[in-house]
Amino acid sequence: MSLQFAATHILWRQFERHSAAPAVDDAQLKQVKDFVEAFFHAHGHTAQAQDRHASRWYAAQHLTFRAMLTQLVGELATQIPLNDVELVVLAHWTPDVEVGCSVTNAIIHQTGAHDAFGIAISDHGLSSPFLALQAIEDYLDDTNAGRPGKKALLLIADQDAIMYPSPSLERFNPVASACVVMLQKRADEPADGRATGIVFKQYRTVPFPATQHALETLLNRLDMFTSMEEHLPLLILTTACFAAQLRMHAQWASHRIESWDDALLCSAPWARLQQLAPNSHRILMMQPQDNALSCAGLVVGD
Amino acid sequence: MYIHTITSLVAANLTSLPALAQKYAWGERNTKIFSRFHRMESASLFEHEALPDLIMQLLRQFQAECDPVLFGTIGYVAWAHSLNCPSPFDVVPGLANDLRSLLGRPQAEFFSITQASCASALVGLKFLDAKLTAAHARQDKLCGLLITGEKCFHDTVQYVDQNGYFGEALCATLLSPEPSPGALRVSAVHIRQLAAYGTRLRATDRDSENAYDHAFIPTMVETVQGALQHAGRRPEELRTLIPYHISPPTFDRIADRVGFARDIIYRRHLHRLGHCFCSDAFINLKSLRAHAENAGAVHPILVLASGIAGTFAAVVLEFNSEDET
Repeated sequence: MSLQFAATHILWRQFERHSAAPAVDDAQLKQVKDFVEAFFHAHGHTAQAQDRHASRWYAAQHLTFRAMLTQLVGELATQIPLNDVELVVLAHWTPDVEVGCSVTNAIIHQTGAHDAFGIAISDHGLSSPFLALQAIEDYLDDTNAGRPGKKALLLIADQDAIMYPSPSLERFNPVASACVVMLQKRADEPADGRATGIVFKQYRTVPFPATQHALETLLNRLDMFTSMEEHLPLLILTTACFAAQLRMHAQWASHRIESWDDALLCSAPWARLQQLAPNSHRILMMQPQDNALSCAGLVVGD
Repeated sequence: MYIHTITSLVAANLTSLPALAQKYAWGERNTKIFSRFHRMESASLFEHEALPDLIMQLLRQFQAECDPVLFGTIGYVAWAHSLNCPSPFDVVPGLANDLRSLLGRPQAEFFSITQASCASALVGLKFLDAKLTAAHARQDKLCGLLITGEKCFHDTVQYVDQNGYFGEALCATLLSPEPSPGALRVSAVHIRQLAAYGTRLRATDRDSENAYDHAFIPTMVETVQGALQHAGRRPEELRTLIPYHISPPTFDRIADRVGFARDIIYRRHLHRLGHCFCSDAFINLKSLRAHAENAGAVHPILVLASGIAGTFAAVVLEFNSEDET
C-alpha cells in the first residue's frame, strides 16, 4: 500500500510580517542575547548575539509555526474532516520562533484527532518533508496493515528569523512560510495500474551527481518508477540552480523541468506542486543539499 | 524491534545538591523540597565540555562497545531531544557529517525527533520501529541509532520549581528488528497526548495548570494500561519500573493506581543524576542490564516518560526467552 493525496489538499502560504511590530525594550533584548550566548557557549562556540537579530526574532513572534499552521489546518478542515487523522508529522528546517511549544500537540488539539500520534522531524535540511513522507508511509503501513483510507497530516513550516546570524539561512533570502498536506493510505492497486490522485512512490537520497556520467545515469540509479509508470511524461521539480543545470543536459532537457521558489524553504516543492496540479505525470522532486541529492517520486493519474 | 547496545556518558564527578543550590540560586524552598521531600542528592553536569564534543565522545565509546557487524548496518541516526532545537542552526550539519564519518556510512540518514519534550525518545522508539520494519520489508537490513542528551545551558532548562532539576547525560542506543543474545524486545510502545496542553509553556493560567495536574496521574495510568494491554501483560507480572528522574513520588502513585509493587521501581539513579531530558530511560536500562544477576528476574520492564507539553509514553520491554535462564 502507499500514500496518496490530492493537489487540492495541499495548502500553503507565505506569511507577511506585521509592518508595525511592537517595540522591543533593552531588557527583552538582553534576555535573548543572554540565551544566545549561553546556547553557543554550550556548543563550544563564541557568542554571536546581536541586537538586530534579537529584535528581528521578537518581531516575528506572531509568525510562530503554530500560528501559521493553525490557519492552514483550519482552512483544510473546511474541505475535509480531520478529526480522524492518525498521524501528525511536522517537518521543518529552521527553528520555531516559539520555544517550548509542542506544535503537533496543538494541531492535534485543534483537529480533535485525540488518538493521533504526533512527531516532528528536523535537522535534516530542506529535505525534511521528503523524509517525513517516507516516515508517514512506514508508520501507516506498520500500524494499519489492511486498513486503507487512514489519514495523516504533514505539516511543514519555516521561519525567516532566528535569534543569531546564520549564513546558511540568509543566502536563501527566506520568507516565513508553511504548508499542510492531508495524505491518505491508498487501497489496493487499481486493476489497470493507473494512479488516482497523487501517489507517493518513494524517497531516496543519492550522492550529488557532480559529473556528466553521474547525471546521465541518475534516473536509472534512482529507480523510482515501475515500467508501466515509465511511459508517463516526467515532470521534474527542483531548485532554480539545479533546474538550469539539468536543462543544459540533453538527456534531461527533453523532460518538463520546473523550478520552485527557494525562499519558501521546506514548503517550496509542495507549493510548486500545488500550483502546477499536473495530471498523468510521474514527478521527481529533487532537493540538492551539501553533497547529496534528496528525491521524492510521485505518480499522478488523470 | 530489539534494543541491543546501550552506551551512556555520565559525568565522572556528580555535582552535589548544595552546589546546585548555589549555582542556580533556586531558593531555600526548592532546596528543602528537593532534599527532604524528593530526597535528591546530586546531578550529572559536564561543566566544561561542549555538546558536540560530548556526542562524539559518546559515539566513540559506543563504537567500542557495539557489535561491529551491527555497527556497520546503521542506516538511521535519530537524535531525540526535549528542546525543539538544542543546537545552533549552522552547527548541526557539521555534527551530522562528523557522525557519518565516525560511522563510516556517508549515506546514513541523520535527523532529529522532537515535539514530545522529554518523551521524545520513547516516541522515537515507536517511530523507528515502523521505519526499521519497513526497511526490512524492502530487504534493507538496517539498524537504527537513537541518541539522547542535552545541556542545561540556561535557566529555562536547569530546574522546575518544586519538581526537580535537570542533568546532563547522553546515551546511544542501537535498535534492530533482529534479535541477538541479551537484546531487549520492545513488546509495546503506547503514547497518549493531552493535546490541549501543547502550548502550556507559552501561555497558561492557574486553572489550566490545576486541570493538568489533576489529569496527569490518570493519563499516565491509562498510558501504562494501554502499553500492558498491547504487550499482553498484567500489572502484577511487571518486575521493573524504569522511572524518569523528576518528582519521584509520582512513581509510587502510579504503582498504587496500576497495581504493581512499589519495590519494583528502579531507584538506582532516581535521586543522583537529575532529570537528563530524554536519556533517563536508557541510562537506567543500561544500568539494570549491567547489574542484574538474572535477566529473567528483572523483566518484563515498564519504562515511562512524560513530556511537559502533554505527551505521555509507556514502553514494555522483555528479554528474549532464550536469555531468561
